[in-house]
Amino acid sequence: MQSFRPRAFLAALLLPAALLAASDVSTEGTITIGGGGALLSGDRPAFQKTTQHKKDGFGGIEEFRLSRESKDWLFNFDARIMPGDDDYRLAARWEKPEKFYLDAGFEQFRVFSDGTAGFFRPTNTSFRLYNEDLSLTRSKAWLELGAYTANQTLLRFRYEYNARNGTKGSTHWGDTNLVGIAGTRNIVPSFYDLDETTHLFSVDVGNDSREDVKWNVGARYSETELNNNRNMRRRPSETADRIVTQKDATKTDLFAAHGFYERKVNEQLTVSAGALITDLDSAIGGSRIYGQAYDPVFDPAYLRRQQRDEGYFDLTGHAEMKQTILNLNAVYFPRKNWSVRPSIRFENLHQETVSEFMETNIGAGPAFAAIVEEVEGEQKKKWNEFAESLELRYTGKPNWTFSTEGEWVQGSGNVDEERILHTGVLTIDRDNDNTRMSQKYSAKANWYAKPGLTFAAQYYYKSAVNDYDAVRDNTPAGTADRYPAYITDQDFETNDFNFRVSWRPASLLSFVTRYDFQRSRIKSQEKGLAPVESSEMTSHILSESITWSPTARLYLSGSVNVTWDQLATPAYRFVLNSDNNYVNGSLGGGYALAKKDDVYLDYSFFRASNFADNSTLSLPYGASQKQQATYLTWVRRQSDTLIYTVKYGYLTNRDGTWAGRADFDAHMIYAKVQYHF
Amino acid sequence: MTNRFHRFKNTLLFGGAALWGLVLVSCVVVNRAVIMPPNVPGATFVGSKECTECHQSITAGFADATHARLRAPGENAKNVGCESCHGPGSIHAKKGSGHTNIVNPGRNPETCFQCHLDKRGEFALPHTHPSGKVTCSDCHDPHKGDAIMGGGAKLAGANETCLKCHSAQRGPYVFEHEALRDNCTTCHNPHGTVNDKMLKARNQTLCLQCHFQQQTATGQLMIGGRDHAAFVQRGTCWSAGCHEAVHGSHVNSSLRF
Repeated sequence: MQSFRPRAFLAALLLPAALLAASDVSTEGTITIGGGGALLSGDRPAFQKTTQHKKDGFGGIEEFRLSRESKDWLFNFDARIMPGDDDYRLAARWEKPEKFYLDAGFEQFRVFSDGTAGFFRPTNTSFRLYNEDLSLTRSKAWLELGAYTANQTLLRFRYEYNARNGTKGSTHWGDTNLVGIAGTRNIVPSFYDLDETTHLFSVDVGNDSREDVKWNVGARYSETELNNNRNMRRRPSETADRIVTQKDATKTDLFAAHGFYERKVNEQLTVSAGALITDLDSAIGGSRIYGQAYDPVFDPAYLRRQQRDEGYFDLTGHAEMKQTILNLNAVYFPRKNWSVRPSIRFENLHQETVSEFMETNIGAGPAFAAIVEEVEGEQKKKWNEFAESLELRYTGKPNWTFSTEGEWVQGSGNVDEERILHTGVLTIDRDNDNTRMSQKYSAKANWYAKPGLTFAAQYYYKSAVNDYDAVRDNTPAGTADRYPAYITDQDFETNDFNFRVSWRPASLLSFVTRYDFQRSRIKSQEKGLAPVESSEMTSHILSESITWSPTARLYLSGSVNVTWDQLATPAYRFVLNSDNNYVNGSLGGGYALAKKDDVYLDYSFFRASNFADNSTLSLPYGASQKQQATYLTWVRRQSDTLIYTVKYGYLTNRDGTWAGRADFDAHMIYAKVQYHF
Repeated sequence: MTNRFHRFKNTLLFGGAALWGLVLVSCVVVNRAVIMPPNVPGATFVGSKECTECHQSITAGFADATHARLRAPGENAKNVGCESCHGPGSIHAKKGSGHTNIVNPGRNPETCFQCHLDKRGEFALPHTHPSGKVTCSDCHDPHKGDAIMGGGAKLAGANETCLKCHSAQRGPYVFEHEALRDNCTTCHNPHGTVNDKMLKARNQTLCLQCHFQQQTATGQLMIGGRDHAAFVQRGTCWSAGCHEAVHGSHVNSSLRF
C-alpha cells in the first residue's frame, strides 16, 4: 500500500472519462498542476517537520476534481498525486439520488518528524546517531455501498483499510555518561519504527427521511495489527554502548453493535435512545531485548550487558473487554423560545487482561549473570458509570441567545491486579475499589448588539473527585512502588472563561477580539499523608484579528495570539514550573495589481522564550524557539478558467532549546497552474 | 561582509522602487476588487433557507448542534446561518452545485478560526496535527449534536475521538495508567502546544501534577513512597528510562516499559 503505482493511478484517472457519456450530462471540474522545492541551509528534519514538505521537492497533480451530473446521476471524482510529499488521493462517488451510491477511494500522506533528542548545555553534549529525517505514511482505502428502499431506508456497507507505516521520533531517550562531571543524563535519541494496519467492516440500516421517526442500527467489526518497535541506544561512544529494542506485536478484534431511535412525540417533545455494545479481543505479544543491533534475539551472555539491563521476551497474552452503553435523550419545548434537553447515560465495562513473559535482568559485576524468570500478570476490571446532563436554551430576547448546561457523572468500579512469579510468589496483589464523581456547569450567551457587533461569553466550572480504596495490597506501607494503591484521593477543579467581541465598524473593516482564561487545580492525597495541592495550571490567551480593506483593490489582515501558560507544582525547586508561554501571529495583504494580476504578501511569526538551564538539578527545560515565514504570492487570472500562481517564501527557525541544532534558513519556491472546465 | 550588505541594500532599494512604480501604474489602469481568501468572488448572501433546498440531510439535524446556539431572533442576528461559515452562497445556489463557488471549512479551517482565535494560535505552533491533513471537522461535527463528540452523557466515550486514529494507545493493559480513564487531554493538547508530542508540559510537572506527594523531609522529592530527587536529574519521568509505558504496560506496575 505504501508504494506509488503510476499506472494504476493513471488508469483510475482515465476511468471516469469513459463513464456517463450520455448527451444530457453537464461536466464541471478543476485540474491544478503544481510543484515546489526549497534551498535549505540548516537542519533538514526540522525544516520538513515545520513545513510538512519534502526538502528535495514535490510536484504533480495537486488537485483534480471532476463532477458530472445528469438528470438522474451524480458522479464526483477527486484526485491528488504529489510524489515527493508522498501525498496521494483518488476518490470517486457514483450516486443515483434516493436510489443508491458507490463511494470508493484511496488516500495517503506523509507526516514528517524530527528525530532530534536532548541536549546538555553545560558540556555542550548531544548525539546524532542516525538519519533524523523521519517520516510516517498514513494510508486509507475505502469502499462504501449504499442503497435506498422505496421508503428511503438506507442500507449501507463500508470497508475501510487504515495503515500507519514508517518512523517517528520518540521522547524516551537513552542515557549517557559523557556529560562531564554531571553523572548520567538521558539525552540520547531514540525512534519508533511503526507498522500498524486496521481492516474495518461496517453495516448500517437506517432511515432519517421522516420528520417524526428516525432510526439506525448497525454493526462494526475491525481487525487491528500492530508491529511496532521502539529503538533506543544506551551509552553510545562508551564501552557499555548497547541497543534496546522494544516490540509491541498486538492483534485486536473489535466488534461493536449500535442502535439509535428518535421519535417526535408531538411539536413539543422529541425523545431518542441509543445503545452500543462493544466486544474487544486482543492477542498480546512483544519483547524488550538488549543487543548489538536493532531487533536482536535475547542472549544471556551478550558481551556488553550491564547490571540492571532489564527487559522481557516471549510476551504472550490476551485482553478482553466487554462494554455496554445505553443513553436516553429528549428535546422538550415547554414554552415558546424555551428548550430543555435532558440526557442520561449508563455504561457497564468488564475487562480482563492476562500476560505471560520471560522477565530478564542482569546481576552485579564482575559476573553480570543473566536472571531470567517466568512471570504472569493479570488484571480484572469492572466499571459502572451513570451520567446525566441537562441543557436549557432560551431565545426569547431579540438579538440574544442564552444557554446553560449541567453534567454529572457517577462512576464506581474495581481493579484487581496480580503479578505472579513462576514459583507462585505474588509480587503484586492488589484489589482497588474506585469511585469517580464529576460535575460540570456551563453558561453561554451571545448578544448581537447591532449589525456587525457581537459579544459572546462562555464560562464553565468542572470538578471531579477520584477515590481509591485499596481493599487488598501486598506492597508494604512506607515502601516504594505502591502505585496505584498509594493514592487515596485526587480532586480536580477547573474554571474556564472566554469572551469574544466581533466588531465590523465599517463594511470594509472588522475586528475580532477574544480572551480565554483557564485555571485548574489538582489536589492529591497519599495514604497516611495530608492532602496537598499537587498542581495549579493557569492559562491566559489574548487573541486579536483585524481585517481592513481601505479600497476594493487592497486588503490587509493581521492576527496575534499572546499566551501565558504555566503548570506549577510544589516540586518547582527541583524541576522548575513548566512555562508554555508564546506569541504568534500573522500579517497579510492582497492587492489587485493589474487587470488580471493579484499579489499577496504574508508574514507569520512564532516566538517562545521559556528556556531555563536547570542542569544542576535536572535537564534544561522549556521551549525556546523563534520561527518566521514570509511569502510573496503572485496570482494571474488569465481568464475565468485559467489561473497561474507563483509563490516565493523565506523561512527561518532558531531553536534555542537545542542550542541551534534545529536551526534552518530556507528559500521556498512553489508554482501552480489551475484550470476550471 | 560589507560588500554583502551593500548588495543587499541595493537589491532592496531597486526592488522597492520597482514595486512602487508597479503600484503607481496599476492604480491608474486597474479598477477591480482583490480576492480575499477564503472567499467566493462575486457571490452575495442568500440566507440559510436556500441551502435547505439541496442539503436537507445536513440542515435537518442542525437545530441540535452546538453551533445552533448562535442563532437568535432579531434583526441584528438575521445573517447568522450556513453562510457564516460557508461564505456567500448566491453563485453556488444559482448553479445548483460546485466546489469552487462555496467555502469548505472541512478543507480549510480558516473559517473556524474566525471565532476560535485561540485555536488559530495553537494550530500555528511547532507541534500540532499535520496542517491540511487533520482539520477541525475530523474531530468536531459542526452540523449535528455536540461539537465535542464524546464524553459526558453522549454515547461515545471521551477518548474515542483520539483512538480512531491512535489505535496503539487503546489497550487494554494489565497495568493501566489511571490518567487515561479521565481523558487523553490530561497530558496532550490536540490543537497544538510548544512541546513535542503536543504535551501540555515539557518537564516532570506533566506527571507531578497528579503524582506529587506531600513531602515529609527537606531535600527529598518523595513520589510514591520513593525519593526521586536524584532520579529527576536524568531527565523527565518518561524520557529518563524509568516510566516509559505512559499509556499502560503489560509487564510492569510502575509503567517502566
